[in-house]
Amino acid sequence: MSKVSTSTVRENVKEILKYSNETKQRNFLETVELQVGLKNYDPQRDKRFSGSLKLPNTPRPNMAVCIFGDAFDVDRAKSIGCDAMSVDDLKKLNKNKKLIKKLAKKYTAFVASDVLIKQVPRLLGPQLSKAGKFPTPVSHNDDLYAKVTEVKSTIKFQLKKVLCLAVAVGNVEMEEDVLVNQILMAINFLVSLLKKNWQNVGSLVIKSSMGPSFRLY
Amino acid sequence: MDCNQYIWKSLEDEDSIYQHINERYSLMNDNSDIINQDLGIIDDKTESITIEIDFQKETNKSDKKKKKVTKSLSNYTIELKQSLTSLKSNVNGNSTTGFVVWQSTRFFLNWLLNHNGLSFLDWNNKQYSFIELGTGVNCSNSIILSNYSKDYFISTDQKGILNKLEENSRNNLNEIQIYNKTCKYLSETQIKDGNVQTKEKFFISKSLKKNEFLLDLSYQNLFHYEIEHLDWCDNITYDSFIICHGTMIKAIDSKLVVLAVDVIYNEFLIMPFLKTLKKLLSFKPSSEALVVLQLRDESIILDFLFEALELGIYVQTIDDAGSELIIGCSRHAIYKLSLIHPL
Repeated sequence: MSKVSTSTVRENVKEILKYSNETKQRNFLETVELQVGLKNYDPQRDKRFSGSLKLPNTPRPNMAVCIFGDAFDVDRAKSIGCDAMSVDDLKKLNKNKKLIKKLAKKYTAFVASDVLIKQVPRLLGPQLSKAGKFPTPVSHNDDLYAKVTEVKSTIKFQLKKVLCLAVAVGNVEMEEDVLVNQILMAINFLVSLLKKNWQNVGSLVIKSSMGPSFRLY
Repeated sequence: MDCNQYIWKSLEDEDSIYQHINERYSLMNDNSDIINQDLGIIDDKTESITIEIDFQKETNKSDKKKKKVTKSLSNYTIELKQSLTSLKSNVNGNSTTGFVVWQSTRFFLNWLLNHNGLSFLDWNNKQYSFIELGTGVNCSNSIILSNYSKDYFISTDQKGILNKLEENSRNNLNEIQIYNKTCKYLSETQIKDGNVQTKEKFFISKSLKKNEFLLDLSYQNLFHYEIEHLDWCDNITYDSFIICHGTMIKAIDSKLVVLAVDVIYNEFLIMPFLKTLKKLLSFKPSSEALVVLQLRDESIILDFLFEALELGIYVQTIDDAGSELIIGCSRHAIYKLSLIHPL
């Protein structure tokens, strides 16, 4: 049973949207983030959860995704307006740590032709793995646009050494109902990952990129 | 049985480890909609869990002219009690994760019995005996693998968990009797009274003293099912376990496999685990360890693999070589660790 009601989420979403769309509009699309504080969790003793959830709508439509593709996929990437790098482009980086770190920083996620997946670490070294950015494979039979959208819509909850984490759940251009639904889905999924479920939740806060924060729990 | 669907892949340097991690996590990204997205507890709503694993049972039938091997569908049914109260308790200073049943053991047993894992590991010839580290309350590995073990299966964990583990083991002993025809359950009372009728007996014990039965020649044909206290982070229990079992491992001629399922999930556990493992493996050079991990935080898996290499332990992983990605499409990885360089 959820301890955060739909009406509580809705009230706070209204405030977020009002602030970002009326009170102080920014010159970029603000992301709405769910910030989580955990309690009764011992990172030294407990298993650290890790789980991905595909949301119905892309929280960050402008999220930077790069495709490592063979000739066919590089062409497809261009046709959908997505950045792409061929094997030759990757070879040009010459395993240069600085350049690869820069690449890992520039893009939030990577997609790679399935035939190239095994070559990626050989071409780029360990930097992408160190950054936790593992390319999602795509085959020639897959719809590349759909794959990229899927990657953009998938959020990951991963507990590290600290007891707080944050994930993007939407943006301020979303309809109120859509945003409420995305937030509730993310909260319920997070709670299902926790060893003691709601007993592990210390606080739940939502906020837009540059707006005030609103505590849900 | 076709074992060619798997290959051993050596993880011997930084490049091979990163390549392995990259491949596994990329596949997990791709299969996120079919892979369970949870912490890995089978059921955190109920205290009782039944694990059923179907498998093809082979029976030898002697005809007048030649021997025939027939296959029939059979299954292991393990009834387990877990403790949700202990899992969620804040009182216990130790880890509470072992109080519930996790998915990794079920995945591993299913792979062993239904996807040629047993024949790939060559465990179906009963050449090996087992020590399991961090068993938790789940006796599935010990009960089922006792049917394929040669001399002993020793389950270990922290003290607070042992009573529940023993209760679960006792409730499922019939699953050993059914399939391991050379073993019969012999109660502790019978052992104490010295009322042993045949050398082909089986007993369960929880006390370190019971090891003398295994070292006593008159009991060497007994199958030894044991539950022991072993906390890798606690030097006292570690020392007493190593002293007691080191002699036993050396004395018995079966090969040792140290089994550990989903026991590495944070960086604090890695070193004590690897040191314990190395010590156990050092008693017999032919020993090996099989470590099954649920892939959560990639940095923990990387640390585990790198620290194993630093300690001079050789690591191999099992990869799917065929088109059916049994392991590759799961949230688990299987590693073999040994002190001898794999040929």
